[in-house]
Amino acid sequence: MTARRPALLLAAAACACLLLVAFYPRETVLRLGIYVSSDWDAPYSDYYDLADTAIERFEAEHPGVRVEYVSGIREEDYSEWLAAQSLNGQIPDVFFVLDSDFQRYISMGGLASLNGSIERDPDFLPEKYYPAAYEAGKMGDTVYALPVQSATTMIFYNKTLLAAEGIDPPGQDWTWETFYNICRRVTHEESSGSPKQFGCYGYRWEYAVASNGASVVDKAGTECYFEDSRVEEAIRFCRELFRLDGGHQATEQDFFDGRVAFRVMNLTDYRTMEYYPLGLLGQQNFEWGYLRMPAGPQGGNISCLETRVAAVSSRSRHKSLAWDLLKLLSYDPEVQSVLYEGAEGTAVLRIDEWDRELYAHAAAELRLDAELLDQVMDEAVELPKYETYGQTLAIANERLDPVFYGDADVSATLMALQREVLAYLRG
Amino acid sequence: MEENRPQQMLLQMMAALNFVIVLFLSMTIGVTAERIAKSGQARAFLDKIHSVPNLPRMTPAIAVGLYLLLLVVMTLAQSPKRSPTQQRLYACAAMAVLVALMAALRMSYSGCVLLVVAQFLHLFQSRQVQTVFIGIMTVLFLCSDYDLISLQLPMVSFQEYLFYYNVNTANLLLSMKNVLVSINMLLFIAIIVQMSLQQSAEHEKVIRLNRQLGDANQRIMEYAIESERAAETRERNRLAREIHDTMGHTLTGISAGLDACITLADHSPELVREQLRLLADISRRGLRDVRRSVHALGPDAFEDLPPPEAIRKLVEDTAAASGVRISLDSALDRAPLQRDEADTVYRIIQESMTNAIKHGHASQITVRIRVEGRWLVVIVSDNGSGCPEFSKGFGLRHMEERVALLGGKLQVKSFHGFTVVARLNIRWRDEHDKGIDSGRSGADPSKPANRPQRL
Repeated sequence: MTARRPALLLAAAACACLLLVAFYPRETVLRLGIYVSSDWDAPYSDYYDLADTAIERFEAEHPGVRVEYVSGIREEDYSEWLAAQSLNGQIPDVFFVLDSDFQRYISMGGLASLNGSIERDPDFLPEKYYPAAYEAGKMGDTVYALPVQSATTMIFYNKTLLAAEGIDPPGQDWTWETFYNICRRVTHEESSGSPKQFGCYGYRWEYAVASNGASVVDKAGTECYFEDSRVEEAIRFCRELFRLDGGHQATEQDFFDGRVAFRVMNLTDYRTMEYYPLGLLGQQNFEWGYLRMPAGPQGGNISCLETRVAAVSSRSRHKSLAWDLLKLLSYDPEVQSVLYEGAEGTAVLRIDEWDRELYAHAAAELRLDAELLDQVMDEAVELPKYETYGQTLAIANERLDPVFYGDADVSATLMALQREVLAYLRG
Repeated sequence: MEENRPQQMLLQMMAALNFVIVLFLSMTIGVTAERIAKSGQARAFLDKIHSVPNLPRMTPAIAVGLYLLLLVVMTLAQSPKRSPTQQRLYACAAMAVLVALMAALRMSYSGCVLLVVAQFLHLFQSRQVQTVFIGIMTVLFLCSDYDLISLQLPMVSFQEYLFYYNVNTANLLLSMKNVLVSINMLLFIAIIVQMSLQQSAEHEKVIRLNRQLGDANQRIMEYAIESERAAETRERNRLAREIHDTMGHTLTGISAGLDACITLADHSPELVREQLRLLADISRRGLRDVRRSVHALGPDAFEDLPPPEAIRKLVEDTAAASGVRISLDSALDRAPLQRDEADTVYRIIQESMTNAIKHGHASQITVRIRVEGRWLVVIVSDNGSGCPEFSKGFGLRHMEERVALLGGKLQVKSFHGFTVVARLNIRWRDEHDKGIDSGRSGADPSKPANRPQRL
């Protein structure tokens, strides 16, 4: 027994050494979770360009560290893919988080808090981000993710159409009233062979609520405010606006055909159209301009911002490296500028942080006034991010349709909606 | 250890059952996670759980590995060679492995705590250690209730993995787990019952032995009293003999002499005078004998002297008083005697010399005291008339009793005089013991015969 013990120990030690040699990682591998965006219905993703640029820089700065990602995961499959990875204990160190997953992963403790990294990193200043974009990665006081890309809403208008109707283009600080009046003036029923003409396409009641300085739900999805007077005001405004059509809603084709005065467009949609197929807007037989969202009486020219965020996994064994990679993706102007070379969205860093030349180049790519874009992004509000926000919207839309297109009473409907949505959120 | 067999068997059964449970739970977790990931329901599953799953695919390997490690630690701890400190260290190691195992099983199974308790409880002798051990294990057992700590620990429980299955399958798996857990509990109870039965049996045995010891002590006390009485009787006998031997003899002589004097008084005053002179001699001798007896009877004859000195003085005094040549060859310096032993030696020599002078009318006496192995041998021989058909009078019987009390033997022979050989089994002191041991000649040191034991 005693004679055999040293031999046994030796054998065990040898086995352990062998295993160590066989499995010891020769280089640190960071995994990045990324998807092919079908964001905002854009057909393909620039994330790979962004990621490749960031990875190249990262690997140069961190010798011995390799970053891997699985390409070809579509956005609609991404959530399931990520969940399966998580079940297999292989959740990537850094990964993009879909809005619908954001809160779930936080409540499961799957996202590492970044507060510590932010405090320790003297280079990192949250003020450099657009406020709404930075907010998108926060829950309460904790930062769980950093924004990588944002898209804001703007209104594009048909200059040719307005000129034909003898209307001066509105200024950048226009209001609901101006918006409504122009829409009323340009809306024509079909007559004498001329095609029907519409006031606006794509304007939603949520935009009105946002530009009136309100919100129907809080960010975490625990409270709702349908009975807020600003919400009611916005709903009443939308009812008037939507009724101008007489129930015939404009289509996207109508806009391309030059028969719609205003079109609300997400900047990503705009860039997609501008870029693919080969400058769609440019080929139209009308000239176009862009405006900030019209201001409500109690709000301002506030746009809604949709932001894509990426986070560090709480299970990552290389949190510091992961933070470096995430910071590179999100916080580095040079990496961010890649976004402007592609077709999607805009960067999340304020104009001040950019190399002026870089920004001017980006704005030229965008064919937008860079200063104006900066202002819009700065003032924008973030859309709620909780898991069931889509369902909440669906409930609200179902209830509000009779208000917009029927005779339902606004106050009574909102009161009922408040109860119903609250019950849903608390349920 | 024979009576431990049922307990050992139960422990082994429990260990085997726990292996099955660990395997069942970990495999269910691992296989379920695998199936969920493959079935495309991973995201839906995440909605039902409250934490990010922690390497479920590795769970079977980790859990079974940890369980085997736990078994190894427990087996090593059972070895009888372990000191209490080592046992405690092993218990700590077992607890650490246990915590890891419970974490690997998502705190969904606490039965292993019972196994560890059953394995270690009987190892701890100290009640304090037992209490501490049981306290820690109770806390662990309570903590392993998943609901209690699910809020603190980010882990997905066994039950949560069952959400994936339909109600029937989930119920089946859950009831399988519950049945296994119940069997484990029953085994634990059986082991504890077995343990307490054994403990009470041991307790009874101790009580029985204690009672026997008490009885033995009682008997020894009685014997001590008895032997004291016997000593008293012996002493009386000795007094009687002493009186008979000296006063009796002398007085008989004197009365016979006086009778003769009465008869002779009328016609031979010369003879009467002669006779009276003889009688006066006899009575003086008798007086001397009485003095000697009184002196010999003195209980503290050598109270102030060490035994060798006392014996030397005895021999010298006797020689002076009787005019007999007495030689002494004593090895007493090499034998440190207890009081009772020295007394016995003293009395034997005294008695033998008295006999030699009185009965044997010897003119030469040799006293030798030798050490033979563990024995002290006292030999008193004389050149007197001896006693071809001696009967054991008071003196000899008394000596025999004294020697027997010390576990020794008394021999006498009457050949060319009279020789008394007393072999005494004396109690050697330890340091002397060793010196003596080397040269000892097969004597039995544990020959306590009737010697009273210290209570």
